[in-house]
Amino acid sequence: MAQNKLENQIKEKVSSREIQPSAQAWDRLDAMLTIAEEKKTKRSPFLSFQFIGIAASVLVFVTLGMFFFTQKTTKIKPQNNVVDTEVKKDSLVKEPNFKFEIPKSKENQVAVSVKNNSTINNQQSTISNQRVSINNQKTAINNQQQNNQNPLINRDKEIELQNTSDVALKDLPKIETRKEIVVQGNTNAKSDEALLASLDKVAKQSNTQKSVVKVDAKSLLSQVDGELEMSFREKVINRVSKNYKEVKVALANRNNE
Amino acid sequence: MKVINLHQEERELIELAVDNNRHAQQKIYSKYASKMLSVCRQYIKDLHQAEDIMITAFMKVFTNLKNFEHKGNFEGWIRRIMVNECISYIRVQKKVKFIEDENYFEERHNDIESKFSVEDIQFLIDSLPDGYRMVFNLYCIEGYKHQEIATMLGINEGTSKSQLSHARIMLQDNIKTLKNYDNGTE
Repeated sequence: MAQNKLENQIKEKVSSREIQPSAQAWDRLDAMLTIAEEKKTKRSPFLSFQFIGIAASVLVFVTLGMFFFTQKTTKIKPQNNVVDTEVKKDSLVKEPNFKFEIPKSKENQVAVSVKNNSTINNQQSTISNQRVSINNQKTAINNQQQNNQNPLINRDKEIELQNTSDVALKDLPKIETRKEIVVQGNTNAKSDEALLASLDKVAKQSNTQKSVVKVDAKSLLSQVDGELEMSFREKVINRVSKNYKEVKVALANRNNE
Repeated sequence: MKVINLHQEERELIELAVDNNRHAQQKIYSKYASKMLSVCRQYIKDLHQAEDIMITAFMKVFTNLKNFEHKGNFEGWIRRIMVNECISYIRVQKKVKFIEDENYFEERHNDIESKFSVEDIQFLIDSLPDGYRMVFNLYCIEGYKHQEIATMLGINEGTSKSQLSHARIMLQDNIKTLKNYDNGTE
């Protein structure tokens, strides 16, 4: 139905009407618009952080992949070592009979060397202290081997050497050199008897010292075996846990500072 | 030529406002704010409330300005947003329920010759219930058809017609009382 005159009148009047809004209306709208813009701008850094996070995760995966790849090559070596040590363990069990023979041969060498020293001392009065000390070093080493009457100690030594652990090998010569220094102090005596006496003393001292430094072969072997028997996963976990602890400690220290 | 220049100016303003140019946004606001507040006032009795709704609607205008395709009238586009905002406010805040009434009377022709001021007209419109007022405004002032009103309000077309019929009857009765009041008979 068509609109009547009243409705047309209402439409005309209302359509042409204008109501001026308050002065604060635009300020409010402006504030709302700025808030909306800030929200939009805040989203962009978040997105950038997301991208950084994705990039970081990719990097982590790549490094982990490289780490595992390199670990696979090193994994082969310990397995070979395990085989070697097993073979050596067998040899260790069989060898003790030969140990006594080797020192005997060296005993003669010591005797020879000492004799030579005595002849040299008699014939040539100008023998340097260095030479004597070198000879005495040899004798000290020989005496150490000679005076190791207890076969158990010899076994320990052999095990240490045959396990081919660098730490054990490095440690042992250090002890010997210290003894040599002691011997040098005593070898200032020129007579053969005095030298022999001093050698005996050194041998006794070395015995006493060696008895002090006891190495439990079984525990060492068990440790090494444990390390060798550790699976690749366990090794990785151990390394990760170690690194994590180090980082944790470093962070704690930094925070304390 | 002037019309083309004005259209181009408006287009440029809109494009600047899309890029969050605050000066362009303010120009658009100052151009249409008074008209749009009048539109909101048709639906909302309280002027302050109407202003609040107008601001919210303008916010929607500026956030959705990139969706304006420059095909229709820009003022009409803004007006539609205002109307929709008012309707949604009334429906949500006042929880208006439309009662379906199939047995409504056909509209009567009542050509009232007397002239009313805008304030009187607004008073008469305000006297209508929310449902009647919405349908009356949409049909008589905005020029929507019953089908469009039905889809806008989520009601049947018949309900829209019945609401309009009831609104007209009530409006004529109110005019009569207003006339009698002016003549001093009441």
